Amino acid sequence: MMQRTGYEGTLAARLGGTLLRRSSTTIWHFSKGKPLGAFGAAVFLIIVFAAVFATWVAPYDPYAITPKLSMATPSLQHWLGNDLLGRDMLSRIIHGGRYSLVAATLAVSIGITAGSLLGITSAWFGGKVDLFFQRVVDSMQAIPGILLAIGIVSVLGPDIRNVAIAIGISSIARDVRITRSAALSIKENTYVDAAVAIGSSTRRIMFRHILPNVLPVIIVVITISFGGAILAETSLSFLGVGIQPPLPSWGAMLSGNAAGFFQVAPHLAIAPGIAITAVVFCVNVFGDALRDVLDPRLRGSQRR
Amino acid sequence: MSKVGFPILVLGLVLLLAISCGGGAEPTPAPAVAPTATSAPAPAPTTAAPTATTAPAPGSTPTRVVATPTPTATPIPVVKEVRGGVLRLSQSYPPTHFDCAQEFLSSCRQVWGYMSDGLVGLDTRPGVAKVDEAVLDASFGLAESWELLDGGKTYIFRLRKGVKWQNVAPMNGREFVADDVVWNYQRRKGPRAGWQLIGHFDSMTSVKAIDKYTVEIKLEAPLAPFLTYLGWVGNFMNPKEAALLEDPSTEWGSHKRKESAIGVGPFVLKEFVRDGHMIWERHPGYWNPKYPYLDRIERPIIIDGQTRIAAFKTRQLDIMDYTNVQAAQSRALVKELTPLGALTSGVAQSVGWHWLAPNSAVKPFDDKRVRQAFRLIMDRRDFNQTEYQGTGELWKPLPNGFGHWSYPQPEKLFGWEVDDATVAKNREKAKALLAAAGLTGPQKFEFMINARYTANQNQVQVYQQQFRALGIELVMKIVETAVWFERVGTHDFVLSAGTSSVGGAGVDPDEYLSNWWLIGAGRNYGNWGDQHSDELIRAARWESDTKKREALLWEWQEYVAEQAWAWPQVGSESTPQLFWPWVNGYQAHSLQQNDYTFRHTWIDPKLRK
Repeated sequence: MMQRTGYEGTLAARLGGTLLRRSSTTIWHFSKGKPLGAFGAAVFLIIVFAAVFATWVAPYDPYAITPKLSMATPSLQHWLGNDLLGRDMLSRIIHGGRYSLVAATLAVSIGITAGSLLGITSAWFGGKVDLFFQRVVDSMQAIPGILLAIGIVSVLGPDIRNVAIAIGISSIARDVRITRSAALSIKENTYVDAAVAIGSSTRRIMFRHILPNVLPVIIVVITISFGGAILAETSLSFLGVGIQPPLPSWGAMLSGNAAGFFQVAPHLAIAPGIAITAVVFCVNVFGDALRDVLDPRLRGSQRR
Repeated sequence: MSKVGFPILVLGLVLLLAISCGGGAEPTPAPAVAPTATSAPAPAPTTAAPTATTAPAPGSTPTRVVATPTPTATPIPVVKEVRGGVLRLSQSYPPTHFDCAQEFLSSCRQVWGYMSDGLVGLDTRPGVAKVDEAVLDASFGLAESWELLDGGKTYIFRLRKGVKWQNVAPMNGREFVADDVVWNYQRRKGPRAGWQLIGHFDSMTSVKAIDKYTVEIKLEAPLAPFLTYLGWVGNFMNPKEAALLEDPSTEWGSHKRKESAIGVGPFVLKEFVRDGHMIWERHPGYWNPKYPYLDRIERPIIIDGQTRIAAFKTRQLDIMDYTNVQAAQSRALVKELTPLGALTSGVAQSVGWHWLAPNSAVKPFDDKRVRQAFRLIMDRRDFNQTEYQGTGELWKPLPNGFGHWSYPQPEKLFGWEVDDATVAKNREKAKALLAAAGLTGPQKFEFMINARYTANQNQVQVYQQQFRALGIELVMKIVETAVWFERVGTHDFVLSAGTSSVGGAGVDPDEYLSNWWLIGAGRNYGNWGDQHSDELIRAARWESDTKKREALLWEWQEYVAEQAWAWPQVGSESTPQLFWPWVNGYQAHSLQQNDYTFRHTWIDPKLRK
């Protein structure tokens, strides 16, 4: 392996330091300009942290059944109480975050990857290609997203991967439309004409000139879609076609026993309800703030 | 790259992404049509049938018994009934048809319970019958007397004269005669009869009209609960002409539509709005002029338990129906509403059937030792604690709701969880049994669960923990209701759990045993039972001496517990029924009022605000 020279090491340190400084400055400015968005991002990061390190963060085993603690109300030992089977609610919510976040991340990845590729391709080629893709999108949009997702899960079977695929596929149509519209305006820029003039390949133009300029839109779509994907996952689990017990899914925790025992043990529904609301709210306010920062038009309106 | 090639490449990539993500998914079996009888929302445990001991026991008399009208064998509290008024109670699920003789539905038999009558009647007035019990009484049925001949193998029924069908076309108030009885009972034994009725009429060899008002029924052998079955709402009289008008293609016709829902009973079905409401009005030409007291019964269809609670609390409903309401919540409701004047009318005991069982025809559960080991590992007290907060009933093969037929000393049954020490010993025995059966090392079994029943999912999660401690992994496979029925109906499972009502005439165990436990029976999902078990069941159904029959049923329970074909679970505790004080002449004996006819019920207008 080649050894770094002293000069290279210093340069790397300088660049790293510069990157850190610049990132800190950006975060500081973002927090100052968009405090609600920054708050959302911070809470979301905490939730992500708790979910990733759930094994260490959760106070109890989320699957350990203690019949004597069935529906026990919140206490010092069990901050959010216990569910019908006497399992610790807090631990299940922390572990449940994993499934919700993983499902949402996978779903958004599938939706945005396919949506961006199809949207940019559709915009760039236009004509019959565009016509074909857009009619496919029209037909997808004719079916309500949640129904499409239920249909897909019914075919593939209810597990976390299939839930993510179902939500991802049901969001492709919307993502195609958004990225296509952004790509259409970028396609008309002179730098794209210049790239065509010097003989750049189609792939190069799409991935080196159009995609980077559509990226801000994609980032905003990701943040906005993320909250929707979590809600979709919880909805599917609530309907019994999502993540299956004994896995601790927020949606599943909200349905079934929580619904049946709501009047005698409301904490069974309130705790996962708050978790879902909090994460969706945080992701959405962060997404809104990001859109304000990245969209030049909104940036202008903000100055006014 | 060409302009055409690139979009195809992109499309291909997207498709590849989708396929690679979903390719390994295990396909869910295509939903199949569920057996109709069970596609209906499963009712909460029922029922209101007389005990066999209250019916004249066929063989307990030498050759001949004559039953005559005995209006009130038991003194009834003196009350001044008020005529008129409207009774409002909810209906959990609307009937999808009205032909419960062919396709059984609890919601269907409710309709006939109001609209028609049986050959023999059950007196369910408060003060006469105990909860979950009704007294067989000729004065409440269409036959005014009956005789038993040939040691209980022949019945002669003499019909009441002047009984008229409701004045609705095509019956138009025609007189009810012996031919109606013959057609009804032949239809219930016919090729399209619902499976629940098989046990009721399978021993009937003939039914014929001797004259216009006399019917003779011959049985292959004396059937102890036969009169009970004839008095059950599911066997109330249906109109022949209306059935044939609806479907003239067979001699049995059809009662699918509301137009053919015409009876001889106290109430006439006036309105039926699917997913809306059902309304009955008094039958002015009812044969017993004393009844009914009510002018009208209104049943809004409210599926959601919480909505029903709200409607009862705000006095929009007169009687509470606990369907889809958890036991803990119903207890809380009784506690909350009793001080506000809501009354309880006794308790209804559960005779539902919650089971957890293997398919005894597949390996390794064809080995008795494995079945026994699984039973010994289970500590049902944990499930009782989580599902019913410890108030439920650990079930014997025949639960307590079956009264004296239920085994009296449960602690003597195989695997009974007396205390923690017994459970620990049981598990040691289980280990030895598994080793003897060659099941050593980690094992994995799939449990197929019906998605509709959360309780079954909870149950298996409790057992997952108990079995994991012994190195056995239970994997829960939750499937749609239709798929579940398809698979259990074709014995396509290894382990499964289910929740079912044992049927209408549930207090007598015969129907349940005939339909669930005989080899080849329609609901013998797990290939349970053997020749000895069948012999005991058959001997019990033909034994008319109560004590001997009881002994046979107890022996059967000991035997099936020891064979561990199925592992009876935990039933809900007895549930107090709630109604407002203006409702009189009502005695709950069913969690859903499935079999209650309301002919004795009346409303006190002074108390209703």
